[in-house]
Amino acid sequence: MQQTNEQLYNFGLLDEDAKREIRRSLLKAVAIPGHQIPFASRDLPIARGWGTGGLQITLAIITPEDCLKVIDQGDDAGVNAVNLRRLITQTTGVATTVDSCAASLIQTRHRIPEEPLRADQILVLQVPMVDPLRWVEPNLERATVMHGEADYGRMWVYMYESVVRAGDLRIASQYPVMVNGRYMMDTTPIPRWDVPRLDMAETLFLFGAGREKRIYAVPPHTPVVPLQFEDYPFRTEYQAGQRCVRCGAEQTFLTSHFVPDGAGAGQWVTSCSDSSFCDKRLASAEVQP
Amino acid sequence: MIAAPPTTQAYFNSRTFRILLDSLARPGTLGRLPPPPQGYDLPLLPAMQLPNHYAVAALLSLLDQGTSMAHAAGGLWLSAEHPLTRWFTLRSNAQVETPAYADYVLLHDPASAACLGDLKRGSLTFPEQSCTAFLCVAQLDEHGATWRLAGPGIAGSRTVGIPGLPANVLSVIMATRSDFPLGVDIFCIDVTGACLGLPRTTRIEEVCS
Ligand SMILES: [Zn+2]
Repeated sequence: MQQTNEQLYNFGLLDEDAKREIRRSLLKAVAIPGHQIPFASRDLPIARGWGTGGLQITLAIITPEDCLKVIDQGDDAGVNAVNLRRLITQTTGVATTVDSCAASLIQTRHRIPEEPLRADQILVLQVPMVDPLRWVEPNLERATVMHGEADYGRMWVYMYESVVRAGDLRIASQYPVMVNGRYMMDTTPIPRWDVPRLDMAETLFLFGAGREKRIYAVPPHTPVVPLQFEDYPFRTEYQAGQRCVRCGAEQTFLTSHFVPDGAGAGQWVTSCSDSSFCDKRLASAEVQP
Repeated sequence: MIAAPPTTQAYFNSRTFRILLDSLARPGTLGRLPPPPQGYDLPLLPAMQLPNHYAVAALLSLLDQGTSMAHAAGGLWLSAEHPLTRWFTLRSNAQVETPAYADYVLLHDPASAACLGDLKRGSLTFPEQSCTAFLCVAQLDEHGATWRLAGPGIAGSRTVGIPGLPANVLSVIMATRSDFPLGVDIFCIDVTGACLGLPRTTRIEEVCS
């Protein structure tokens, strides 16, 4: 019979004990901004490394009243975003949106939406690599002790050597920050563009790493300062004259796409990485005369 | 797959958690805890000893066999044989623990805030292995000015009114958080279900009147 194949899942898929454990860890994470809290990461019907840390946070905190947005690289239609959104809606029945302003809960990999987030919204980030100290101390237990003692001297030296070698603080998508002047936190995988937006924000940011089994948080109105040096200040990816080919925005984080011309050649163009923001601007431009 | 609607208890726990999370993330902005679901048949106790049922339900929403708890009234820790202790353990499977090792404590009245000094504050390596306290108070007033709060979650500073606290409460609380990242996180909950989160990062001063 058809119906018997349809299993009835617990709301939010996780059992209540798993949710409680994640909730308890989240409260500690908020109370100790930037400190990594271990948690018993569960296996979910999605491969680890594909956002199970963020997913477990979302499933542990979501309520039927929430309106959910899921993005991957700023894009609501990304494969990872579609898969995660489907899993969450199938197990909770919550409403979804692509509009950042309409969402109460946003799960994301890589981007913070361009539109300023509010106090009544929560951003959940999927984290692939947790510890900024892995570059100088691959042993996680020893790195944990270093965090406890705020023993960051080796990391500062490593950063300085990196920037001198690279010319500026362009360490691709891996950028350490100091949270509330105490804990060093990795901002992977968000671009440098979004790093300043963690600082003194209105919104609560929750970070989950499924494979490394860590949860951490940046509360609202909390100082988040990139590691930088007087002779090598922090810089975002912004380039003078940059512009989105679709909506014309000049102050957004852009991604490049190759547009083939049909004759075996083509050109690279840049457009907003936040696809829903870009669509909104296009739509409102079309309405206006 | 079909999503089952959450059970009454699961739904209550999820809504309660969001209030606790938001209160802790925004100290001084009062959360409104939902009324406990039906079936919270608290044990028969003398009227003077009836606990704040919002605080009881909020604490219970976080407890299970992976946690331990203790509770105090009138400034004294209550025994494992106390009817309310048994009530908690029966419903949550949490372990009853000596206060110095308890993960969660319920302080039934402002007088028991003196007990905050007994609680574990974690270690440098594991500051999260600290106690979280639920402190029952008579009234919280977002527009009042007993304390001035500052720190993460607060734009600048903000005040909150907590009338009727014993004089030494603030010094006891601040002594538990003199050595960040160690500390005890506190939820103050009043008889109407208003909830004030005081994470260990919150600096508190008496407002001079
Ligand atoms: Zn655009």
